[in-house]
Amino acid sequence: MFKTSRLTVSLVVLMLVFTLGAGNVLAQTKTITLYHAFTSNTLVALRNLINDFQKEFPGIKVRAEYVGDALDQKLQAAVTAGNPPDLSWLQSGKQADFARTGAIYNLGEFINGPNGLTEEDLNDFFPIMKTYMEYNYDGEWWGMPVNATTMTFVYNKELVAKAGYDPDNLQVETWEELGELAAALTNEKDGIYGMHVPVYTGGMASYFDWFFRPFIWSAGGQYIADDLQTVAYDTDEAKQAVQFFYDILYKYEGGTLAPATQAFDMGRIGLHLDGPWAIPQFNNLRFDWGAMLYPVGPSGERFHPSAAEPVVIFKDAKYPEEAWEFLKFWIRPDNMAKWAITSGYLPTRRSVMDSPEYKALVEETPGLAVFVEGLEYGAPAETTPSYNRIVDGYAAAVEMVLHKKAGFEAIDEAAAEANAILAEYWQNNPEEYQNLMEVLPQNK
Amino acid sequence: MAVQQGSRRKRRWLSMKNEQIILGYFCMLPTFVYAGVFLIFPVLYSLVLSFQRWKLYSPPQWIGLENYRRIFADNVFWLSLKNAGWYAVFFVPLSIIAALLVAMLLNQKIRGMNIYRTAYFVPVVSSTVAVAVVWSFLFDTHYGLINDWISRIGIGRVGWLSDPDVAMYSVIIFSIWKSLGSNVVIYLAALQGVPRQLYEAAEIDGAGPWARFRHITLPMVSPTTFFMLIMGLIGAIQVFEQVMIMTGGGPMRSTYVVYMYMYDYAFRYGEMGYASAIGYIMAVIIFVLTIINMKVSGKFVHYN
Repeated sequence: MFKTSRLTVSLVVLMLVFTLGAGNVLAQTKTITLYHAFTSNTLVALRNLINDFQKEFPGIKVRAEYVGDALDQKLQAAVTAGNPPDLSWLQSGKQADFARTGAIYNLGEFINGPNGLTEEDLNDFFPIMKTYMEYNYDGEWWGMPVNATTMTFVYNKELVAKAGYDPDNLQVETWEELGELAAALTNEKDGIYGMHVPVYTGGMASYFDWFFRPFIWSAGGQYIADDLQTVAYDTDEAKQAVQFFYDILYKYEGGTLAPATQAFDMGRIGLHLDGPWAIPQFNNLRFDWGAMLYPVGPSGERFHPSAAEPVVIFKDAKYPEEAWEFLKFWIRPDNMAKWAITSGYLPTRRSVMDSPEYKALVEETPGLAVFVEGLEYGAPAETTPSYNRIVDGYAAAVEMVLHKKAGFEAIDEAAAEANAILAEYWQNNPEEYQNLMEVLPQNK
Repeated sequence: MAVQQGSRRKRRWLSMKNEQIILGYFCMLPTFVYAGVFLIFPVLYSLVLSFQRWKLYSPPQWIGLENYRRIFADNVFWLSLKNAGWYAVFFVPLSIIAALLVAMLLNQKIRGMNIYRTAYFVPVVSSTVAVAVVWSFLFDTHYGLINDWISRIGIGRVGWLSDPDVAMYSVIIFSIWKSLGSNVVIYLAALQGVPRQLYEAAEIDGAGPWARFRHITLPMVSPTTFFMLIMGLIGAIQVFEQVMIMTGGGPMRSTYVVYMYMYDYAFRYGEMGYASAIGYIMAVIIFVLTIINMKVSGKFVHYN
C-alpha cells in the first residue's frame, strides 16, 4: 500500500509537470526577461509599459527582474554562466564593457533589419543621446537610450525671496554671482546654508564627479587629456573649479560640506544640486521650489552634466527578436512620453517634448523646463578607464583641499597616482586603446 | 511480524550497520555540499586568486606575490588598517565595560526586569542597515535630533558624521549601542554563575561593594571578558556595514576601514585577485591577534 501511494504521487507530479509544460507550448507565449534597478516612480512606469506592451503583443510576456545595486556583478556572472537575461537596463556608458566582451548585440543588426528604425527615428534622438550611444566603444549603437538625465540647481523660493532675489526668475550667470547668491542665502545663526558642496569618495564618488565635471569644463579644463594617457584635472584651469568651491566655503562663506539632501527638504539649504528624478519629491515639499541652470564659467561657456541610460540585448538571449520588439515599443514617442511622465526621467527623443501630455506636464512643473534646457548644455563625461579608482583618488584630494587639510598639491599627488594607473591600464589593454582613439569625438 | 523483523535484523546485522553509515552520510550530504561549495571552495579558491590578476572581464593571469607587494606599498591600505585599528581600540574595551555595567544593573531582582532586558536586546536583533540609517538621521549635522538637543543647551552644532575628526567616534557610539545587548546577555549568564556564598563570605569579612566587584565579580567573569575581547577584536577589525551606511568611509577617508578597502577593490574596481589578497592579509592579522590574546590572557583570566 505504501508503495502504491508513492507511485500515485509520482504519477500525479509527472502529469502536472507535463500539463503545465504543454500549456505553455499550446499558448505559444514567449517570455523575455529584463534586468533593471528601477525603484519608486520608475517602477510604476515600467509596470505600465509592460502592460501596454503585452496588450499589443499578446504572444510575448515580459518578466522584469529587479537586480538593484549588484546589477553589474549579477550580469557579469550571468553572462559567464551563459544564462543572461534577454534585455537589461544599464548605467550610462556601461554598454561599452559588455560590447567589448561580445556579450551584447550591436543594435545595428536590428535597427537596419526588416523590423528596424527609420533615419527619421534616429535623428529624433537628442544629439547628446547619439553621442553617448556611439562614442563609448567603437561608434556603433550597442544600447538604446531610454532615459536621459542631467542635474541642475534647485532652490528654495522662500529662502531666495528672503535673501532679496526674485524667486520666480532666478538665474545667476557667473561663478561670482553664484558665490554671492550662496552668501546671501546663508544664515549661520539659524543653521541655514546657501549650498551644500557634495564631495564624496567611495560609492558616492561618481555623484561628485558627475556634478563637478561641468565646472572643470566651464573653467576651460578637462578631466582627462585627449589621448587618455594622463589626467588633466591637475591643470591650472581645472584647479579653478576646486578653487571656486573653496571660495564658496571660505570666501563667500555660503556653503557646507555636511551631507544635506534631507536638509534641503527641511528648508535648511538654499541651493541644492539634484536631478529630474527628484521632482516628484520636490513637489511634496512644504515650500515652493524653482530651478536654474549651471552658471557660465570663466571660459564663457555653460555646461551641464548629462547621462543616457541604455537598454541592451544579450547575445545569449532566448528571444532576441522579441526583446527588440519590446525595446522598439519602449522608445516609440507615445510610449516614451508616458514613460518619461511617470518615471520622472527626461525623454531621449525630441518629438516627445511636442506631445500634448508632456507639454502639459512642463506647464504644470516649471522647474522641469530648466532640466530639459540643461540637457541642451549637456556634454558626455570623458571616457576614463579604471574610472572608480581614479575618481576616488581625485575626490579624496578635493575633499582634503576643501576641508583645509591639504593644499592644492594634494591634487597633483592624486594626478601622479592616476597617471600611473592609466599607464598600467593601457599597457594591459592596447587594443582597447586603439579602438578608443579611433572613435572618440575629440579625434574625429 | 515483530519476530520476523527481529530475525531479519539479526541476519543482516553487519550490512545493516554499513547501510546505516551510508544513510547517515547521505543525510549529511546536503551540509557537506553546502560547506564545500559555499565555504571551503571559495576560501581555497580566493587563496589561488590572491596570486592572480583577475579583472572580471578578462581571464585570470598568474602574477605571484605582486598583489601582496602592491597592497603593502599602498598608503590607502595602511590608512584603512589604522582606521580599523583605531575603531577596535575604542570599541572593544568600551563595549565590554558598558556591557558589564549594564549586566550588573540588570542582574537584580526588581519588577519589570524582563522589559529592561528585552529593551537592551532589541538593537541586536534589528537589521544593522536599518538602524544605521536611523542613527545617521539622528547624527545629521543640519537637522539631526542630537544636534537639536545639544544646541538647546548652548553647545554648537557638531558634524557627527561630516567632521573628519569626529565621524569615527560617532560610528563607535553606534556600534556600542548595537552590540550592547548580546554582550549583556553573555555577561548576565556569567554573573548568574558566580556563587552567592562568595559575596556573603566577603561581606562578613567586611568587603565593600568596590572590593566585592574588584576581587569577586571581575575575576569570576574574566573568562567571559576574554571571550568577548577576542570576539570583539575579530568583529571590530571587520567592521563594515555601519561604516558603509553612515559615512561611506568619509569624510576624507576618516572612517575608511579595511573591509571597505577590500569591498572597493572587489566590487568597485573589479580587481578580484587584489581583493582576495587583502582578505588573506586580514585572515593572518586576525589569526595573530587571537594567538597574542591567548598568550597574554593566561596571566589574568581566572578559570574555575
